[in-house]
Amino acid sequence: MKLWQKISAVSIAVTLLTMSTAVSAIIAIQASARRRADEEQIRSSIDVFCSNCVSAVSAQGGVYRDVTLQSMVQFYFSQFASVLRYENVYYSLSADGEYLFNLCPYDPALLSEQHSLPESTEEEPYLFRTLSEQGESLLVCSRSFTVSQSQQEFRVYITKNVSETERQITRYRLIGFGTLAFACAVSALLTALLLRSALKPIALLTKTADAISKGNYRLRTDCSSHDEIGQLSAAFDRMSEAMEGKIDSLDQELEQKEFLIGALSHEIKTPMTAVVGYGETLLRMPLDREQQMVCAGKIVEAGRRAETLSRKMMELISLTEQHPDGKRQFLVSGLVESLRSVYPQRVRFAVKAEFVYGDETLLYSLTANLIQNSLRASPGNTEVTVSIEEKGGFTVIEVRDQGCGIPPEHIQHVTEPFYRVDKDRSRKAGGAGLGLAICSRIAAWHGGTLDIESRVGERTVVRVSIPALTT
Amino acid sequence: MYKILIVEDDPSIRQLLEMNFSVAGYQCDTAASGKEALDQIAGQSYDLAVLDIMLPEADGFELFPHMEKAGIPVIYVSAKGGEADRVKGLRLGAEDYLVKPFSILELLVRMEKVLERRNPKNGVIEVCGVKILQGERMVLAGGERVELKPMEYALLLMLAKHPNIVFSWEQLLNEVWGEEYFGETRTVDNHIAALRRKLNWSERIVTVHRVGYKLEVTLP
Repeated sequence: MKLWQKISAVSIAVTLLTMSTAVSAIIAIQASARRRADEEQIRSSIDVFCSNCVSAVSAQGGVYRDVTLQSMVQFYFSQFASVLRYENVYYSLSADGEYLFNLCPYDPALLSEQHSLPESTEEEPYLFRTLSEQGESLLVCSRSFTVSQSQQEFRVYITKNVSETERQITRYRLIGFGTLAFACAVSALLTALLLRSALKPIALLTKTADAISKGNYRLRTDCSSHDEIGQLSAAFDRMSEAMEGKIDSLDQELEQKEFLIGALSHEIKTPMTAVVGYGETLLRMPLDREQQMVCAGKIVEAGRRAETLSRKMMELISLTEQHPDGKRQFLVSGLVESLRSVYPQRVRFAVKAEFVYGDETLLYSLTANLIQNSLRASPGNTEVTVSIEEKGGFTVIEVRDQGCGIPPEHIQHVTEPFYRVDKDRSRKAGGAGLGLAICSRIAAWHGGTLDIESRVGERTVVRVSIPALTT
Repeated sequence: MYKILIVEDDPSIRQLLEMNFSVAGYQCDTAASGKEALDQIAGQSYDLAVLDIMLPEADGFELFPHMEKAGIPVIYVSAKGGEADRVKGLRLGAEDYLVKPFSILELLVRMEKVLERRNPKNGVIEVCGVKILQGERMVLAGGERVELKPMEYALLLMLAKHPNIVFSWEQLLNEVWGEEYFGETRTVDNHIAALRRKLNWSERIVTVHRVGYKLEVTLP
């Protein structure tokens, strides 16, 4: 059973229950009010009959025999009955079980007797009965009275046909419950429709979630409603957005890593070929002493190359992954001191900044890499200048040499891993082809940039700008 | 003496090939780029070219038509080990395709097979008083005919052609018995023992501990 069906069913059941209770109560109150009004009317009529008969007889004065008294009461009673004519109301008078007067089509005394009458008391002289005779509902009331000193007891019956009232109550009941049923049906329909449209986004949400779990990360619910379900959809969309972003970045990282590993496995083949080849030659070929030394030397060289390659590769991969954030403010002088101790000659430092904000180890590695590149690229009698300064919210590290330069068509590629402008020379100098790739990743990791400006045969300037700590 | 052209941009590999080819008795020229290779073949003729594929200026595949025109058979030696590249190289018409890191001895044997096929010689090999008449498939030791089983003969040829080079058991199995043959190294030992006995070469065929066998010949 769907949620909208459940909610509709429950709400309709509750409405039906309360409304029908209310309708029944109203009708019951109405019915009892009518009944009371009828009783009141009858009671006063009976009082009128009794007191009129008593006072009319008393007004004659004197003492009469019972028979005379009877006919007098009968006379006056008929007079009053003819005056007090109401529809569906019948008057009867009896004395000693005999009717003296009866206009009622039924037999009120007999009817009353069928239901054993309780004795009337001083406080409540009226006896009421509701009877059913020949398909009609009758309200019968009786009261006894005596005239002057006589012991003769008369009994007045007023019979009211209340069928009409009852029919009306039934009609009310019919109308009430009919209206209720109709209202319930309409409200049920409306509730169902409303709920269905309100819950539609949930179905959409389910569909979208299913699709996403099947790998369609681009899908969104795009629900426009502003209720809680709309909020849920919006939250869901935000979640999918974040997830897609994360997956994209993971994919990208993976792709990059795969590329690096592919490139590495290719790059490692050259030193491996040399190691295996020279080793095999040493082992199998009839070589003289000099040739053997050459082979051994080559094996060591190739091994060193492989070692450098793997170390640089690890450096690069650790930068591709989430590198732990070791950024802090540190003194430039410390960085320069440690660089100066490694490169005591041919490097000139021009420092115009006091602090750098970043990872000290990474920035050392970056600067050292750039210096090494420059030294390799430039002839032995020239200097390499390293300047560090602060410019417009950025710390700028600049390494300038007067070396061979980079041809313009290569500049945009030199930061790619394993890209080499001059393969032979780079290898001879011990390069793995990863230095600038590492530098540009370090710059990017700091949220900065690496720019290269070069003129072939004249100079190369590598400029790294990273955001300075703004206070 | 065969002339080999080595085209390889990595200096240490280039030197490795050059050294081995010289030791194996070939005359070598080297080229470090596609362009250099073209210059070399324009001026001279070669019996075989060993080409790298990733080369500056013109890659190994681009060089192939020129080699073909000059009638130079080609063996590729490349770090590109993918099936697509190997198929491409062989489909072009290369004699062989070896993936780096490769075995030098394997390369030497492949080269020799190519050279033999290209330059059929029913030559006579003479080593240490043993004469091998390849045309007649006959072996003479001290002027007397020695009966050898087919595999003993093939093994003798392998050793005699590469004096002083150490062959491992696996290599001998591969090159003499064929790669499909899943023999045991004992097979090699048995045949070596037969050769030593029949040719009286127990001193000549040397067991190199943990490496393999070689035919020791004192070179003049």
